[in-house]
Amino acid sequence: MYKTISINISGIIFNVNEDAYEILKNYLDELHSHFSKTDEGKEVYADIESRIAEIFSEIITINNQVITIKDVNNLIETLGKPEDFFEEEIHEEDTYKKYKKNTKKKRLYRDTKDNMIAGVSSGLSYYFGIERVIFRIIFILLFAFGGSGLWIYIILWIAIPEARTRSQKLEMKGEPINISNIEENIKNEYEKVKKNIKNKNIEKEVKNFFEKIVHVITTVIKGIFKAFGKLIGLFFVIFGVAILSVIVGSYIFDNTLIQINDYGITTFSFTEALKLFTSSSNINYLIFSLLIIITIPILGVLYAGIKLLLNIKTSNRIIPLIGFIIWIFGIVIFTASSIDIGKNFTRGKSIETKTILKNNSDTIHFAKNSVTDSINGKNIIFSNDDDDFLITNNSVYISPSFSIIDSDSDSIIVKIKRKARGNNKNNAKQNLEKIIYNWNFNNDTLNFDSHLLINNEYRGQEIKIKIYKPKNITITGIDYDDFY
Amino acid sequence: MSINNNIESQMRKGVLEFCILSILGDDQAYASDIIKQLKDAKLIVVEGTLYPLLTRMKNSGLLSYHWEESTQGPPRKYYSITKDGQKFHKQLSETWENMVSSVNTITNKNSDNV
Repeated sequence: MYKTISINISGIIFNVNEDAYEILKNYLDELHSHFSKTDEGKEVYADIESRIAEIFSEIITINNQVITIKDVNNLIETLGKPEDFFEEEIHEEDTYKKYKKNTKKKRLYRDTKDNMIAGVSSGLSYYFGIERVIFRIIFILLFAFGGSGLWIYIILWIAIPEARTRSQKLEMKGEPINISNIEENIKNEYEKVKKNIKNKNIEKEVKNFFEKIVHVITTVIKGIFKAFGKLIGLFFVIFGVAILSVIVGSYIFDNTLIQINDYGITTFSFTEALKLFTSSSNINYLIFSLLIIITIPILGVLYAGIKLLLNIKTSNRIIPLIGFIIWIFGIVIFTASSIDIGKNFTRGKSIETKTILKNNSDTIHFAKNSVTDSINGKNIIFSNDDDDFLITNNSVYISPSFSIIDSDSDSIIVKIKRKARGNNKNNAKQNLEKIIYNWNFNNDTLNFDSHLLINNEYRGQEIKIKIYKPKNITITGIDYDDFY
Repeated sequence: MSINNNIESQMRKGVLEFCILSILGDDQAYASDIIKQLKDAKLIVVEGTLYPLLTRMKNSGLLSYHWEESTQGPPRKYYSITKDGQKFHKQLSETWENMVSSVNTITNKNSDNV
């Protein structure tokens, strides 16, 4: 009894014995990895598959339903071994040069024969000629501190192809990369660029001076990229890892950001600060989308850097596409959350109170009672120059505006106008009531809080204070900075 | 890979395109028909080498193809020669005849000397 595997070649189903399947799969993999690099090659590969389907169709009869190992071997004999295909192609160009170059070149592959997870460390160890344990330790350390190791591992997993065919396995184990190889690489690219420019000048393809310049520039840039690609890649990778570590790290430590102010280096919680402006569920959306918007381009840079650094040649279009879609998704959520914050400020409400003071003296003292003195400086997230707008980790302090107006009335009148905003009239009114502000009149002295205080929800609250004074009364203690 | 092998396969490859154009000169043909004729003439050993060549000739405008349903297996690509292909075939025929006579002249002269 044999186990058979059902396969689909060119739209036709065949049952293949397990051992025959292994050989056929290796054969097709090898052809595919060779041909799938160009559009022309893809067409050739499709033709070959369709021929295989035809040959197999001829084998199948009512009595013989299964493709055996013998059939597969016959097939390979008819079509030719992969080497036969490739030999033909090598002859195409400068045979010996190319042959030499091919055997020398080393490519990064994942080693799935000797793997812990996906064979990334093992593949890297072949590429750099360093023990694989070292890479594993690096990944674990990077994962433990900041978590970036996980991201890098996943990106490498996606970016690096698996060594499937014999030739890929050989490429994986080729000559180790060292300084003299890199030097040679740079020299080769320089020669190529020089040759390329010269050739193009001789050919009549280059029609005018402008085209010539563009051509020279692009050739040089391409050359630089190829020759110094590894350095640029290294820069990309370092940059990506650094930013990722900061992001992941700060997310792990409760969104704590570091800021530098008059009180030295302090930290504050990003989510706590946001609670002043929106609901906590919206904060989650906001942070989540912000994380996507920032992280995806950085992952992209990291991906590009790793590809440049390790000379990986894969044209995977699906992963960048998925990344882009997620990124757009992040922007949509971010926009919606921002609009949600904006909605909290759409409707305004104001209430004015009028108090007539009874005084006997003709001199009145104006005094301000500081409410910000008790704030621990380390909790201040934002303050403007005059400290008349101040945000701490859970409150907002705002100076009211004062004005003194001469009036014809007999006594002093204090008008206090409170304003607030909200997503509807009712909500604006609720927000208005959240203003904490005290003042009083005692012993000929007007005592005003220096700031109005809002705990939890800031919705554009403000206070305007107007003092109407009869002409015969003087007010002392006025700091004219407070008035306009 | 030895240098002898290389020269031989270069020579074979050079005439392969000429032969394909000659086969298609009479009538359209399916890839396997072309392969069979070339195999019988011992110009190719394995089929696989021909598929890249046919695709390349099609892409450079010498050949065109159309699909035809097959009673056995998937639809088949039938190749036929284009106008450009015919022109090129004519040109190659002349070159070939010239070359054959040149080579013959030289080899005959030299074999007389031996």
